[in-house]
Amino acid sequence: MTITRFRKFNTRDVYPGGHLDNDMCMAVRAGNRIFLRGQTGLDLNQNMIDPNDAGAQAEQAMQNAKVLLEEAGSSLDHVTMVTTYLTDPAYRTAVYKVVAKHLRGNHTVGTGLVVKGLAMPEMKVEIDLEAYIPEGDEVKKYRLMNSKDWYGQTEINRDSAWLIDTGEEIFLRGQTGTEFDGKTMHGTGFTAEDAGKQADKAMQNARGLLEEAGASFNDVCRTRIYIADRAYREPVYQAIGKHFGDTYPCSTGLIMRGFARPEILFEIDMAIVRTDGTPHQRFRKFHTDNEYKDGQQLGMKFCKAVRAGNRVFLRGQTGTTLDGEFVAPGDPGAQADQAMKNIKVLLEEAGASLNDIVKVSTYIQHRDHREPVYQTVGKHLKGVFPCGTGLIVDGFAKPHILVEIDVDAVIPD
Amino acid sequence: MKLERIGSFNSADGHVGRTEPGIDASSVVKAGNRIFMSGQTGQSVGGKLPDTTDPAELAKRAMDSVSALLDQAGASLADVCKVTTWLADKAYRPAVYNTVNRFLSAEPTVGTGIVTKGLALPGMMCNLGIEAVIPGPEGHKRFREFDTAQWFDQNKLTRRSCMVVNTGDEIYLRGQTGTALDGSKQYGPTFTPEDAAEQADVAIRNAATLLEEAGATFDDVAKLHVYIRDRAYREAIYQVIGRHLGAFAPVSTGLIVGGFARVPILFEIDMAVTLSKGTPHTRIRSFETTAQYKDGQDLRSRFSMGVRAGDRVYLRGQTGLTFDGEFMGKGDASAQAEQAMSNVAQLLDEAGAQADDICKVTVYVTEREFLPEVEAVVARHLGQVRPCYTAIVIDGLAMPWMQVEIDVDAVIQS
Repeated sequence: MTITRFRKFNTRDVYPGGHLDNDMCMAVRAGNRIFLRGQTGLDLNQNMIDPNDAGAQAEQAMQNAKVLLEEAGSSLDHVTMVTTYLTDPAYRTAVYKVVAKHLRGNHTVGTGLVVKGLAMPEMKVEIDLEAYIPEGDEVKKYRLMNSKDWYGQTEINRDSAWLIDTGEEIFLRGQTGTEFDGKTMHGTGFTAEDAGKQADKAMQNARGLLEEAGASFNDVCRTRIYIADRAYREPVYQAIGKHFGDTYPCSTGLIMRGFARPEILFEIDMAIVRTDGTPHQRFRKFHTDNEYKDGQQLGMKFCKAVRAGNRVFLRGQTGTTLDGEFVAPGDPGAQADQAMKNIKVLLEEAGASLNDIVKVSTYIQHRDHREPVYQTVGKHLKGVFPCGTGLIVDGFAKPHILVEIDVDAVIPD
Repeated sequence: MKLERIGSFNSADGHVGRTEPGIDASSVVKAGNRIFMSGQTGQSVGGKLPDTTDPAELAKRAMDSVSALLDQAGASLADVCKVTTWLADKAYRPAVYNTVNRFLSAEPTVGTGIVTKGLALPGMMCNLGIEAVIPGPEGHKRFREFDTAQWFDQNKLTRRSCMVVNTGDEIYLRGQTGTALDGSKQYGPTFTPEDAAEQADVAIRNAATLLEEAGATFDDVAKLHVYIRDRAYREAIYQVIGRHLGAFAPVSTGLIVGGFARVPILFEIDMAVTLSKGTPHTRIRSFETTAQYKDGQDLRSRFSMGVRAGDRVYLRGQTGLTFDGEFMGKGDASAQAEQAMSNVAQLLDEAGAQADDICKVTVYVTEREFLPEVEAVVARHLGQVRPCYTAIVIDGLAMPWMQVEIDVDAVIQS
């Protein structure tokens, strides 16, 4: 597998103030898989196109993506998954219309989130795209649909799928507590029990969809668990844990501002790679009841790293050491430093290195923490040039966690 | 004394495509010398979405409105006692504060600054809550003046501030956080529930000191607004509040918010203080938190549903909770609003007030999408009362299934 990084740049040239020094790139091609920097209303020369119009920013983001995908030998037709981050749910229709227009005829899976903030206050939307360049007709899509038939979103005419199977990797639509009919939502009372019901339904759906594609939870490498309120953590994780049993995925857990609709209390994304006969290697398995010493009863089995062929997935890393000790309370830079040290150790245990990182997703609670966190990450990843996405979220597993860092790595042949 | 209602608008003005009726409201309600004002956002009444993305420009427009409205009410910017600044993003803080300061440089004011999930319309950046009192012959007394530029190295913003304004009838207190009163130290800097409790303890002790300097005590405290950064801090913070203030049973509104002036602040408390001057406030339906929080929250505190302080009536923020602690309308914001407004009517009655005495209504919703249905309910209950009105999209309320909370301020007319 060959890894190529396109349009390398340094963040000191992007963000005013010149306090950042992160070697990044706009796109990474790893074999036939494309990773992109999260796209916003910044054009490819880093100028904000329109600070007042979410639709215009989405248009710019999608135009950027088109250029970048084509430079990497791909196109918008190869996009498999779209994750949309909005800073206000009011921007949803305008943004989704634009995304739908650019992806017309290409049924993609999607996840839609509302975040507390993006890198700059004037950014209203960020779009993460995943793509796969097919060699023949190996890509199979399951349960095609259109968003206009979904919960009365008649204005959003977006071609969607529930699952896309490239033969190696499976992209699954972000799962919530809905029936497939687009009108029956489970758990609509906003209680912890409702969140648990939604998680249970989401996991049932995920299991069923994977079975339709001839896959299973054993192929799941990483989950991203998005929750609307800290009060929902226990029931959601307990429901997920019940379904995953001894799967031991690695996981990142975030408290988010919202989802496609207010009654959605929870959404789960899964990174899935087919096992191809040989089970994925799962490193440092643990049970949450031993990891969370603050009394959280999550009843979930996770691991800290998964190696699936050339791909490496890690648990979202924080200021907690790999032995479970929280260091540097109140210090976001030091927490990021611990997270990056963990990432180095975990990648090496999985047979990779920091140099193999293709994408960094950085989650913080406060925009004021960008500088200390990014400065630290930049030091650890000097010369690596991954692509990145940065979100400001409402919270993490524990309130004292100020930063969480997710990396995707691909080991070259 | 009769309430004077100035400048009418409807809360649905400017909400394109909305079919539900909005609340008929006033920009200003004047109750004797006391001026209530609807939150100002820089959005012209009946206007479209803000046409600027410059927070300074929006703040300027908001303060231009404040100035004009005060003038219409026979007051002036020098009469402003307190400014509650709601920001949709903390990044707007320097621009908004510096702009507000240009208008309020005549006299120092007390302030509370909150970062919240959203405002009534997307694109709004700030909502300025102004409280003003036309001074008597002796004027207002302002204590511990300072400039925010000297406060925790916030050298990018300047604001002529003070810790306390005493109008003779009421005391306006700066929103208190876990900061030393001289700005020399931030307590509880590591974001744990223990830190939040430490901040709450410092904040409330500071409040006691300030009240004492101004000649008041906790007995004069009628209402609390408790702003918390993360639900994980609620128990720790309320237990501290209960220890200090439980005996006084104020009314309270508890909100989970996105942030404060500075990142390490996990908690801020506002106290509405009316000087009792020998006649103790009447506390209505005082309760132990265990009776209202049947979901297992261990708050160990004591509050009231209503407080009558002279002609002023303060109510606990009302939600879908009945007085018996049953929650009505899970998953249904309008049913919750219905319960809340029915509680409001009952409590006003018990306090000797009526709907016509309502001066200001503040609606907090956890999603902007709930506003139309909630406002339709509130509008039906309020009819032509025309109070001041502010809508805030809030990060969270006391229980995750609460979708709306309603604050009501009233002054009994004679």
